[in-house]
Amino acid sequence: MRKDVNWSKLGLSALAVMAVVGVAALAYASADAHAGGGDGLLGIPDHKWKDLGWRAMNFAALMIILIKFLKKPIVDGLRGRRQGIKEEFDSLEAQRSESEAQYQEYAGRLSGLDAELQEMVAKAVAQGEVEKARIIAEANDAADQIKRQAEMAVANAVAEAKVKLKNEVADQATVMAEAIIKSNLTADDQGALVGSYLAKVGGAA
Amino acid sequence: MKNALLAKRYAKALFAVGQEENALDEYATSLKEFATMLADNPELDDALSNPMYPLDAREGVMAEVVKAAGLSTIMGNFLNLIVQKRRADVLGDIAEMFQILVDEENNTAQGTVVSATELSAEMQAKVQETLEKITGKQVTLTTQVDESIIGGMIAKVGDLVLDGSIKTQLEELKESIKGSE
Repeated sequence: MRKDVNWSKLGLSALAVMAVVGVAALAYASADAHAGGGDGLLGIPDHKWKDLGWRAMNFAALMIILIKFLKKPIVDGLRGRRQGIKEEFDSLEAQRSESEAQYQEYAGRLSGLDAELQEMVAKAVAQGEVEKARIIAEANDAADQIKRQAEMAVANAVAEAKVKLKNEVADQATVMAEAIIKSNLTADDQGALVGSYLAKVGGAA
Repeated sequence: MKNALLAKRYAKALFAVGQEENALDEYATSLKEFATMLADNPELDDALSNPMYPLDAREGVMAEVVKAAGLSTIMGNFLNLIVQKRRADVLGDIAEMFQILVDEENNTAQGTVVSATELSAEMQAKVQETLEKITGKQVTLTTQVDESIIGGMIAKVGDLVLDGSIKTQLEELKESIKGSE
């Protein structure tokens, strides 16, 4: 379990201790000097205690000054840094949540992909069947049409051939009849033909 | 007849003169002979009707022909007028139209009979008699021989055509065979 440390209080305590030590050392050194003593406390000369006292006070004053002027910027910087890190953590956490949600979504879709795929295949097969039926129907229609056209063409060709044959028969029959009549027609026949025709048209008149 | 209207106009003019002169038959004969001569002589027809030749030259040719044929003055003047009016190419039609007018005046008609062989005089008379009976006019008959009709006869009087030829009968038979189902 993490325990928050109050660094400002701790620093102030340390400075207070050092200030006390310094003041005590100075007091001791000046008292001893007034008493005209030789070696000081713990065998350390008095001027050493005095020097220590001055150094301690100097350090304490320096620290007080530093704390006085640098405390706010440092604290603000550290606070900003902490806030940035916190925001970064929040952002990362949000990204993680989002990624997890996407993962869940993709996993869900992936699990449904087989069914979807099967449905698509079924649809494609159904469409293919419909298209196949349509193509077959069209082919049947085209075949019927071609058959009808062929039958009509055959019928026309037969009719045309019949007409042609009939015309040829008529032409040949006429030519043959003409030849037979020419070869058998006598002068008397010519006169009889003219006479009978005159009788016919004269009678009609 | 290509220029019937034009030919009729000239024919009527000559007909009026012919009636006054009482020379309709003479003019009809002269015109017919002249038209026949032009038809038989294409060079002469060309010399009279070709606009490439000067009009004086064509008039000169016509004058010489009239003189050589011994035509009457009126007929000569008429033919010269035809040349001057550049209508020599319709002389045949004028002759034909003039004959029609004369026939109408005389209640006569020009008839033609075509046969495969020469008709005897007796048969020609019979044909003429039949045509006169049918048309009610006196028919002047012209005979022609055309072996291609095979047999029978074809008679024409004006617009009337009597076709009793074997060739036509065979054609009708052929068409009936072709038309039968």
